[in-house]
Amino acid sequence: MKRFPQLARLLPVRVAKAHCDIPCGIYDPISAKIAAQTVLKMVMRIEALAYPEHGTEEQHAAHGNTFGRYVAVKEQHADLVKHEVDILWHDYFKPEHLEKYPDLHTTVWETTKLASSNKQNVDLDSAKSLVESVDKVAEIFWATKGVTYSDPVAETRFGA
Amino acid sequence: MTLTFARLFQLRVYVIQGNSMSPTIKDGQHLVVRSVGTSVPRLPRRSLVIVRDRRGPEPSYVKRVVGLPGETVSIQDGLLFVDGAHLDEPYLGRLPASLGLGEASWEVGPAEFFVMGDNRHRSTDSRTLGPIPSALIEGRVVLRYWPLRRFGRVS
Repeated sequence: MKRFPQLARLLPVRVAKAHCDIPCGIYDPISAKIAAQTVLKMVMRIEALAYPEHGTEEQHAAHGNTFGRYVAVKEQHADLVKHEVDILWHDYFKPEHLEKYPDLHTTVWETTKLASSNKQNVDLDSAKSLVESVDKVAEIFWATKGVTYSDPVAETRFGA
Repeated sequence: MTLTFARLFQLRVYVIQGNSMSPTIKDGQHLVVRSVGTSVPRLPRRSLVIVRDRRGPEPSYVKRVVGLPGETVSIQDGLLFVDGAHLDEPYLGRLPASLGLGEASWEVGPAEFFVMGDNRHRSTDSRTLGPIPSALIEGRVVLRYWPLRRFGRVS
C-alpha cells in the first residue's frame, strides 16, 4: 500500500489484530515433538498391522478402517510438525539466533522436509529421524534461552 | 470520490497484524469491512467480522462467527458442535480441527455471537472471552484488496 499513498490518505487504514496468544510470545517445540512422536507411533502401527489374507469380509473392512485411521493420523501430525516448526522459524527465531547457530536454517529445513517425506512414505527410519530432527530444533530453541534441552519423559510419553 | 463511495456504503479498511486467522487471512493483508448497524446484525455463520476489544483501548480483532444468537456452542472430543450438530469447517485448512480445543459448552445470548480464530492453536477468542455482545462487532469483512494477487472475497 506504500505505492498508493493517495488512496491511503483518502481512506485511513485501521488496525485489526490477529495475534492474540495469551500471553503473547509463548513458544515451545514440545508440540512439534509430540506430533513427531505420533508420526513414529503411527508408522510402527501401520507396519505391525497384519493383513487378513484369508479373513472374512468384516475382517477386511475392519483392517481397511484401522489402516485408514493410522494413515490419517500420520498425515495430520506430520502436517502439525511442519506447522509448529514453521511458527518457530517465522515468529520466534531472529537473525541473531541464525548468526549464533549457523545450523539452524539447515536443521529447520531438514525437519520440515522429513515431515513431508513421512507424509509420503511409511518408513520407520525416516520417522525416527523426524523425531531426532525436532529434538535438534528444540536444542537450538532452548539454547537461545540459555537452557540445556532434554526430554526425560519422551519414552514414557511415547509409551509401548 | 473514493471517500464518498466508502461513506455511502459504510466501508472501512483494515490492515491485519498477526496470524490467528491463518490460513484464511495472513499478517499484513488489507481488508475492506462494511460497518454493521447498532441493532443485532444479521450475520451468516462463518462470516468474518471485526470485533472491538472490550478489555480496553486495544485495536480491534478479526474473527469468524461460528455461533449465532440463541444457539448452544460446544466442544466435544476436539470437534465443534452447534446445537448438537457437528460444524463443518473447511476454512481450517489441513490442520487438525482439534488444535487447542478442550471440552466446554456455551449458551449464546440473544444479542451475542460466538467467534473464533481459524488458527485455533494460536487464537484468543470466545473460548476464553465468552460469546461477544453484538455491540462490539464493528463490521463484516467484505473483501481482501491487498496483496493484489489475493484480491477478492474472503471465506
